[in-house]
Amino acid sequence: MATAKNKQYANKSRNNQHHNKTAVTPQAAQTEQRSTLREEWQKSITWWPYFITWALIMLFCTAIYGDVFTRAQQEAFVSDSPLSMQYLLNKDYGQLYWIGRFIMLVWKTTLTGSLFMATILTLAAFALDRALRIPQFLRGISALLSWGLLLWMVFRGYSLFYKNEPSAIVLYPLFLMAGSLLLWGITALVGKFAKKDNNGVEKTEKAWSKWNVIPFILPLLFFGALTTTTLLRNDNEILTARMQNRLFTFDINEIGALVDDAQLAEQPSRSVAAYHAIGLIHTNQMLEGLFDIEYAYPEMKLDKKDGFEEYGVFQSDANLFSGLLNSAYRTSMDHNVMNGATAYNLKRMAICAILNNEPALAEKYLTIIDQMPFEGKFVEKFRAMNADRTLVEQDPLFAQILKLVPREKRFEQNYRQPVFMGYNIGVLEGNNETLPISIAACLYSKDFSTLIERAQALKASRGGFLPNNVLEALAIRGMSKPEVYKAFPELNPDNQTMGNNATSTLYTFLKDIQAYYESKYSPNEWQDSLKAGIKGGVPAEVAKTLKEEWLGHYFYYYYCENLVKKEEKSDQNNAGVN
Amino acid sequence: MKIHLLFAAALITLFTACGVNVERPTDFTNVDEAVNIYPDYRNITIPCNIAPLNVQVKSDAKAYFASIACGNQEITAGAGEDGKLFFDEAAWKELLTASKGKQLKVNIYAETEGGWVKHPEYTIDVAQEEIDPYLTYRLIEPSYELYRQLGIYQRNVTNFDEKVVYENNPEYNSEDNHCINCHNFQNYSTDNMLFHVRAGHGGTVFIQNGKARKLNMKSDSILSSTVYPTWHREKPWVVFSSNRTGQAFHMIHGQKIEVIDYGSDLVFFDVEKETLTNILKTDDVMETFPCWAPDGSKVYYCAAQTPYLKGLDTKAASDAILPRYDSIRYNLMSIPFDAQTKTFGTPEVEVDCNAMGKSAAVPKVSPDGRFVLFTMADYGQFHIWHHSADLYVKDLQSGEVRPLDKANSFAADSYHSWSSNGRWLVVASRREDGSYSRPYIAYFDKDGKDHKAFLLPQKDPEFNLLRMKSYNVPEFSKNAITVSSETLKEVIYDDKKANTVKYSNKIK
Repeated sequence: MATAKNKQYANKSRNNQHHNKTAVTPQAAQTEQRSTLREEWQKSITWWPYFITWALIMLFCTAIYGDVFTRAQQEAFVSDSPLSMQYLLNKDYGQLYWIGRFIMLVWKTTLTGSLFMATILTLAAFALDRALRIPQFLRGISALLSWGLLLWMVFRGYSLFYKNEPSAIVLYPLFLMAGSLLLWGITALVGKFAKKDNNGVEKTEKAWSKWNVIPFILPLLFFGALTTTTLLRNDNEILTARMQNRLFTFDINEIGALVDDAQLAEQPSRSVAAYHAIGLIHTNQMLEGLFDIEYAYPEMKLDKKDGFEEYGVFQSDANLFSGLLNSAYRTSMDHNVMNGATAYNLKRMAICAILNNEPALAEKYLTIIDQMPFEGKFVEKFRAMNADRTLVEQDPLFAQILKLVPREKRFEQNYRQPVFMGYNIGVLEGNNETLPISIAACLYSKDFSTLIERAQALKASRGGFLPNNVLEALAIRGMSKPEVYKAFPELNPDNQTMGNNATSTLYTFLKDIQAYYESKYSPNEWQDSLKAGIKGGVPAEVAKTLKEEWLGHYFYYYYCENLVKKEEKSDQNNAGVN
Repeated sequence: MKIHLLFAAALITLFTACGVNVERPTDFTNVDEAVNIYPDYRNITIPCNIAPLNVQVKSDAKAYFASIACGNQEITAGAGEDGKLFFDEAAWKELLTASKGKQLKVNIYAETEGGWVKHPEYTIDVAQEEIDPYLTYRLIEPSYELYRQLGIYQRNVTNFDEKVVYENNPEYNSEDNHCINCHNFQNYSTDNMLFHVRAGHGGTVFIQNGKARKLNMKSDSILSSTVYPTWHREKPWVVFSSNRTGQAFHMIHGQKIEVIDYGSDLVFFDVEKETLTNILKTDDVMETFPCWAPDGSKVYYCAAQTPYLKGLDTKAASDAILPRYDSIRYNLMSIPFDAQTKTFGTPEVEVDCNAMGKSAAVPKVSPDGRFVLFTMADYGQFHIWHHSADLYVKDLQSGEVRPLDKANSFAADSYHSWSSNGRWLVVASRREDGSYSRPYIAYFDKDGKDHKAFLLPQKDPEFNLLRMKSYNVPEFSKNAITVSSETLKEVIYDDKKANTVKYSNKIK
């Protein structure tokens, strides 16, 4: 275009020369060219900042935070039945939230949701720029509010939707857009009657020429700041949402990917660790991979509501996927009672009922879920399973869950809480599939009281082999209970025929700890310092030096991680009846 | 907000209740397959003043047509693909009035791919007797330990109106969170009634002749708080059970929850004098679920022998009873009462359920005093959680004990009550899905025979499928509750005004 225009101008110039017989110098031609280019540039600057903003918000909402928003959509149960929406309608602004939840359906997929957010937020920025008469060299700066809104959503963490109204995700951008448009309308009307300050415009245009890159830099800066903050602050939230989304495909291949997801966490939260464990269970790697992630849980930032905050995020899923169907249903019902219906929760209740062979109850939940737009696929799939039990038994995921269903006829109150841990620690009778999970629970809680018997049973079921983590736990146990060596002679430190064994590896690990104290303290002090220092576990600064080499070993977990004392909960329930 | 909710509901109702204009098919094929309708209103007996029995046909047809006729009178309704048939209320009322003591014939047609088909006709008997117009119940999720929003509601069974009597906090609030339960009327009238408030702002609310007050029922002289109530028919006397209750959650049992008492006694309360007196206070027998005989000569109740609880403190009792949960069996008992001397006599066994390997709960005496209706299950007392729970009746004239085979189902049939004329029963039943209790009504004719139970009709037949709350403690009354929920809220929240009851060793 520039070349054509150049030619045009050049022709014009030649024409002028011909008609006026006036010479046009090359410099003048160049100046005129630059002026034309500048005009074009001026025109494009009007919309480029908005396009870039739009594109970057799209990118943020798809690649960075899309999992969280799509997860939030599953908390926004909506139907056109006032009966089903009664919980919401009883709230202040309930009708507004009702509308918001319908709009929230855009987040059924990341693409449609991102399109929505990007368009609304960019439109808001455009309108606000117009309303505030932002000069051209700062066009796009009003997007600061749009980016600020996204930043607020990031700072809300999981509480953006968990036990809070999820439609705020779409309503607040809409309010921003509506407010900006309104302001633009008002200022446009006012502007019609106001005197135009031409001098000001002239000054602005002169200034513009110096700062013409700002509209292009601003969106990138905002995006950069938001993305950096999000990834540094909320990686656990993103991973938890992603893992929950995967889980509720009820596809065993997706569930296997939970293990990889957890590895991405810088410092996994309790929720990430729980979903990691679910992934390990259903890929038969529980004992092999449980300690591959770090166990130093950061606090998940959640609003204080009813005392079941972070556990509430994953407890029901942990119960369900470890075969504790009644417990999964119970905690799901509790969530339903306290927070109203959510699609995520209703789906879990339907699955529990199907697996528990309660077809009428499952049909009730499927009917309710079916009221919600775009849930037809889920309903169709599970209605078929509900009608034909063989489909359940043939499904690889559900078949595995059914194998984990308890055999002991006991009460939840007979086990420590949370029950998915307490049951697996306390269980005395179960299928072979339960055994590795039970041992893993014992290792996780550092409860070795029944470890020897369980390990013996596992060894017999696995042709004489035990995973390294189990051997390492037994080696630790052997230090205080030498009878371990009778049951597992391969661990006996005096047994030279079996080469390096877990016990000798344990000594190496302990020597590394010792080496730290020897290097830090004098020869007279290091032994006392070591004894005092590792009382209750290895101090964090020591653990840091050991992490690179020893993370993944049970030794590292036992001595350095999860050092918080767990209170014994009463095994009798004293709860009253409603 | 409530007005907006009603408006929205009205709009939806209007659009859904209008039904579909479908002409009566003239060209159809008769099929043998019985029509699949929800609720199942086939071959039942209904009161002559019940609300319309709107149904949903569950099949894949394009349209439906239904006619209900008795003699020369007929009403019709049409439906689209959703199969929902709405009968005009006025026309229905007229039909029922004309059909008292007679039979309705119901015919349903369906437009399939191959044309219209007509399903086999079924009948509905219309009893001469009316049913009490009001049914009061609590709505709460079939939950475990936690609760949030719940309330007591009163439904007019002659139409579809459901009124809020009282609702607690819509949002969880640790200071104000409270539960309400155990509403009970004196002689089917809401003039005198009570209900309990638990947790925040706890106490018992008494309504007498339009005035509400809250009483603090705690006393060190009774076992625990006052729980299951029964009003004397005429006198201002209430017998309560006083229970220590816990619950445990099954890991794999289909029944999910076991609610167990680890101590219960019976106490007498004089509403006017505000005095409590122990009737039966024993730590090796658990007495619960009292029910006055209509003539006030007896109190029926349930009792289980628990010698292993003797001398144990609360914690020890709770620990001792849980492993025995499936061997605790309650007999149906009665204890005579002398209104002159205001003394209770010696308890008698009415039904030795233990010997039958069963356990009784919730005895309710018919208004004419002839029958005792109660629930029996394999063990325990909180039978709504026991699939084996069924309704039984003892004929106090003949001594015969028999199950209500027509009214019972395969699921838990538990809390029940009589209508004031003794012709209708309502029972909280879990036959729909095993988890959510729904009120089922059954005719109990003058010969003492029960009839097939039917679900309380709703405007939208799918209503009960979508409702995620259970109906608890359905109780009939002849009149509506007149005290407003705002007044009740004031009374409940005003803890300072609540009198504390006194204890008396003897009924004065």
